[in-house]
Amino acid sequence: MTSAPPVVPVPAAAVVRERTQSEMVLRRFSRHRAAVTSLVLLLLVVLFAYVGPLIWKYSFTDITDDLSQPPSLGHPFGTDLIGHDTMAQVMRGTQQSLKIALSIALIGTVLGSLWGAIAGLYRGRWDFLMMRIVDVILTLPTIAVAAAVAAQGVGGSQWWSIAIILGALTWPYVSRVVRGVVLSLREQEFIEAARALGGGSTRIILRHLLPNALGAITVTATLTIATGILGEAALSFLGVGVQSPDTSLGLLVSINRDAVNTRPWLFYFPGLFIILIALTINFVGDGLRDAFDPKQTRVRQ
Amino acid sequence: MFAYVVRRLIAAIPVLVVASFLAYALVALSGDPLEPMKLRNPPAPQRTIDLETQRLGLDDNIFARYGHWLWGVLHGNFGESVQSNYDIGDNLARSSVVTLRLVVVAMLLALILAVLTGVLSAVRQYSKFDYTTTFLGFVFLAMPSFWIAIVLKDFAVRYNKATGTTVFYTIGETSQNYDSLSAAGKFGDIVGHLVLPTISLALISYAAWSRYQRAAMLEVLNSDYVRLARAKGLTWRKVLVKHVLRTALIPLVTVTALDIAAILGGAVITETVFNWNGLGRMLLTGVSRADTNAVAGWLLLAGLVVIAFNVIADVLYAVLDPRIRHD
Repeated sequence: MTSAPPVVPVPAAAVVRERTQSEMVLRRFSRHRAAVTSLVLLLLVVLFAYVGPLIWKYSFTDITDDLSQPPSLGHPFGTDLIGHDTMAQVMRGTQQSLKIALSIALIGTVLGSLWGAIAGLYRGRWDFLMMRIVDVILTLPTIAVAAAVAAQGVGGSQWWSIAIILGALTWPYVSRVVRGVVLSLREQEFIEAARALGGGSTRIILRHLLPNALGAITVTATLTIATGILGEAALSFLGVGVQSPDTSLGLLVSINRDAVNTRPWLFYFPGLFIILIALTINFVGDGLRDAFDPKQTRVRQ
Repeated sequence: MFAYVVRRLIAAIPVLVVASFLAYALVALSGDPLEPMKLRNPPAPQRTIDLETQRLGLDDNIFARYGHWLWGVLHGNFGESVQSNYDIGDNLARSSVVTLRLVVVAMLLALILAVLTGVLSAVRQYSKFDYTTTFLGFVFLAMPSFWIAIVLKDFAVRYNKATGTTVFYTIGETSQNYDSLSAAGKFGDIVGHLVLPTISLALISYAAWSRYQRAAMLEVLNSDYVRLARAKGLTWRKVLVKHVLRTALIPLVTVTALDIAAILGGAVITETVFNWNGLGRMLLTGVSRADTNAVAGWLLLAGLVVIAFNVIADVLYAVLDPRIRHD
C-alpha cells in the first residue's frame, strides 16, 4: 500500500522550511480558482443573510403599501401580493435555510463519523450489525420518511425539528464514507504502533483515526450542507417543512410557485439563492477534495 | 446466478422487516389519525371515536399493531385506512404503475445521457465540451428538483399559449379523455405526459452520474492495459467500447443502485409539480391523514423497489466484470 516518498535531491540553497499539513491543504485550496471564488460568494451570501437584515429598511414581517411591485430601487427583489418586501423575505429565508442546512450537516457528520469510525475499527460482528442499521435507513427514501414524520408537526415545526429529522436521515451516508476510510487506515503501521505503545480504543479513534480521516470527513460534511439546503427546500415545498409566519428559501419558492408566470421575481429570487448556495458549497467541496488529496502534491518551486 | 439472486433476496428480508417496522413505528407514534375528529367542533361522539379506534387498532401496543399489519400484508391485505372506503392495496398497485413508469424512463434517460457525456468529456478532456458539461453538471446538481420542474412547466405553458397548441402536457399523468382513446392514442397520451416530468427528474441524476462516468473513464483511460490494447494494434474504437467503457461502467452501476431511493423521493416532488395521481400524491395524502397503514405500505413498497434495484446492480456487475462470478 504505502511506498516510500520519492527522494528528490535538492540543492542546499533551495531548502525551505517544511510546511505543515494544514498549510499545504490551504495552499492547494487557494490554487483552485472556482473553489476560492465560490467561497467568497458564499461568504457574501452569509453576510447578506445575517448582516443584511440589520441594515435593510424592511423586516421580513413588514407589510408595505407596495403590492405586487416588480423589482425597483425601493424593493430590489420586488414585493408580493400583500406587500412583503421580497428581499427582506429572501434574507430571512436564507438565514433559516442556512441554519437548518448547517445543523443537518453537523448532526449528520458527528453521528456518521463516530458510527463509521467505530464500525470500521471494531469490524466483525459489531461492524456487521452497525452497517445493517445503516442499510435499513438507506433503504427508505429520505424525503418520504422525513415528510411522514415532519407532517405530524413533531417539535412544533420549528427549524430545529426539521434539522433533527433530516440530520437523523443523513448520517448513514457519512458513516459509509468514514467507515471506508477507517478500514484502510487501521491497517497502516502508525495505528499498530499506537496500539503497541498501549493506546486504548478511545485514544486511537480520537487521536489517530479521526484526524487522519479529517480530509474525507470535511469534504463529506461540506457536501452534506448542500444536500441539506436542498432537503429543507424539498420538505418546505411539500408543505411539511418550515411553516409561515416564519420562512425559508424552500417555503418562498413553494408559496410563489403559481406566480412564476405573472410575477416571476417572487419565484426566481429565492430559487436563485438556493442554487447559488448549493452550487458554491459543491465547488468549495470539490476544492477541498483536491486540497486534501495527497496525490495533488506538486513539486515545490 | 439464479441461486445467487434468490440468496440476495432472502438476505434482504431482515433489512426490509426492520425498515418497515421503523417506518411503521415512526408514523404511528408521531401522529394521531383521530385528532381531527377529536378537535372537531362540535366534537365527534365518543362512540364514533371508540369505533374508529377499534377499527384502526389504535389501542394495541406498537409491536402488536405492526405484527398484525405485517401478517395482513403477507396475505395481500394492507390493512384499514383512516379514510374508511380507501383500499390501500389497490391504490398502491395503481399508483406504483404510474410512478414506476416515470422513475424507470427517467433513470434510463439519465443513464444514457450520463454515459454519453461522461465518455465524450473524458475522451476530450479539457475540451470546450468537457468544460461546458462539467459546469452544467454542477448547476443541475445545485437545483432543487421542484424548481427545475416548475421552470420547465412554465416554459411549456408559455410555449403552448404562444403557439395556441398543446405540444406539451403539463397536468396529470394522462388526459381527461384517456379511456376513450385508441390503443395507439393511449400510448401517445402517456408518452406526451411523461416528457416534462421525465426531463425534470432525470436532470439531477444525470448531473451526478455523468461526473462519475467521466471520472471512471479517465481512470481506465490512463491504465496500463488500455495502453497495451492500443500497443497491440487494436482500433481506438474497439479499445474504447470493449476495454474502457465496459470497465468504466462498473462504478456507475453502484451509484445508480444507491441513488434509487433518492429518485423515488424526487418522483414524489416531480409528481406534485405536474399534478400526477401517483405514489407521490398517495404518500402525501397518507401523511396528512396520519394514515399509518397507508404510509407504512408505501414505504415497504419503496424498500422493495430499492432492494430489487440493488439486486439488479449485482447481476450487472457479473455481466460487466468477468472476475465477479456469483455462485
